[in-house]
Amino acid sequence: MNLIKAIFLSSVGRKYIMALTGAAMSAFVFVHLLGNLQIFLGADALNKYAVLLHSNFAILWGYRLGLGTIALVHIVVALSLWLENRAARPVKYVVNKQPYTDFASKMMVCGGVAIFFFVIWHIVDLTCGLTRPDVVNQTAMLGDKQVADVYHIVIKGIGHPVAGICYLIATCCLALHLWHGLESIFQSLGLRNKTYALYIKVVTKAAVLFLFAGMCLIPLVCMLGILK
Amino acid sequence: MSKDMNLTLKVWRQKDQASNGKMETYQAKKVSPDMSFLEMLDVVNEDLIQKGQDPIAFDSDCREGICGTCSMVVNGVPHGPQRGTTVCQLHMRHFKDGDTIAIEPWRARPFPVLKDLITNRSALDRIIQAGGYISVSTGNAPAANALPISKKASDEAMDAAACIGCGACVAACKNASAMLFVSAKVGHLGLLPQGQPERDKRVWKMISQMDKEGFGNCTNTYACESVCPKRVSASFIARLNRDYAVAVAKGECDR
Repeated sequence: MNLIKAIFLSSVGRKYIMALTGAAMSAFVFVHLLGNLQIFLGADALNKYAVLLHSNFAILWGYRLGLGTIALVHIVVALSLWLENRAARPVKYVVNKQPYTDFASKMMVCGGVAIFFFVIWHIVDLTCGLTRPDVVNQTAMLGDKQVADVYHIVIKGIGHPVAGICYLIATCCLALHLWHGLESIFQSLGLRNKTYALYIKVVTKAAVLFLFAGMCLIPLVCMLGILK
Repeated sequence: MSKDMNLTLKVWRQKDQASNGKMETYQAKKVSPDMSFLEMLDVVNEDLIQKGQDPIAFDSDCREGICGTCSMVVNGVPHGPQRGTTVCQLHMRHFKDGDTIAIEPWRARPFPVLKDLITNRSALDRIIQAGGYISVSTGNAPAANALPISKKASDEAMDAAACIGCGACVAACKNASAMLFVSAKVGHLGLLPQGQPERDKRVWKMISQMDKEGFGNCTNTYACESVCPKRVSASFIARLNRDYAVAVAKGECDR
């Protein structure tokens, strides 16, 4: 019981949970981007990748449920920490400028909430196809088999100007969240010291910039009609 | 010869812990740029006393930047705009004639305001009592070189030991977290051979006490190390996080 308390109720223990679940979701986001960048290899490449992802029911659903649980834990723990942090300063400063605190770290909660709502819409819209069935029900021939035409689903789904702008805004929120979060993972898990600090900073920021560029590129090429 | 300044002060005034406080405006006239911030307040207080008003209550002791008693937030920054010093070592030459300066007490639930700018920081003492010590058998002092300590470890321990427990880290943190303070105390003893026998127990007890006091949680903004008058590095917080994981993994929570 004390062990559960030490991990799930202590301040430091909950930071481990935030860091580990954040790391898992970051890993997913990078793999998701790399997979989607195959859109530049043409329709067959992306459709083949989509078939591969859907090829094993157990792995697919194990993966989805696992990631969903991780996201839920990340959110619940974040809310508990946020409530405590607010309670820790009941009387605010009159000159409330939060000195030496960067913008990204102040936006963690707001950005996180925005990402949450975006992901819900993203899943309802493109994974379940509930909002735009005409976009999601496109099929194409891959060899002699009829498969979901993910290539054109993405181009039509994300290429719509309103949807595309939502993707761009969500990408900004995600990049800002990870700008602080990715580097923080190392500090929270105690894997940072003066020797590593600079390397951790450079590598994590570079990774976020790559993610930001890649995730902006796809909606932009779809909206501008560069890919058809 | 530098010219004297006239300043407008907006100071938090609060009669006692139970009362509500508010900002009051005072004029500080003929302030010498060579005065320290506290000397400037002394002059304002002399004036208030002569007028028969209640002087502004604030904490101070050594006035040479090493005791950690003085504690005020100047224009939103604990210990004021100059980095690496306490507010007693902040001199008025860092301000311009005609400036308005807002002065507030530390703000955190575990630091209740006792009067004006004075807060009760006993919460930090209770964290120290929980585990910020080493237990030694009494007797003659051991020979100086009986316990070999590497230069690197002793230097790093000294960096952490520089913490004067003023609480500026808590005051600056947007979450009012005391992690820099606790990490400095845990790091200081944890780096030295004398601190090893109680290392796991110490980190477990001190973190438990810190949580009990109602401080916020660390979100790695590093505002704490930026305002720390002794420049204690936030990498001690990473070390504390690591030590806590080791202590929990060894089952310290069930001992």
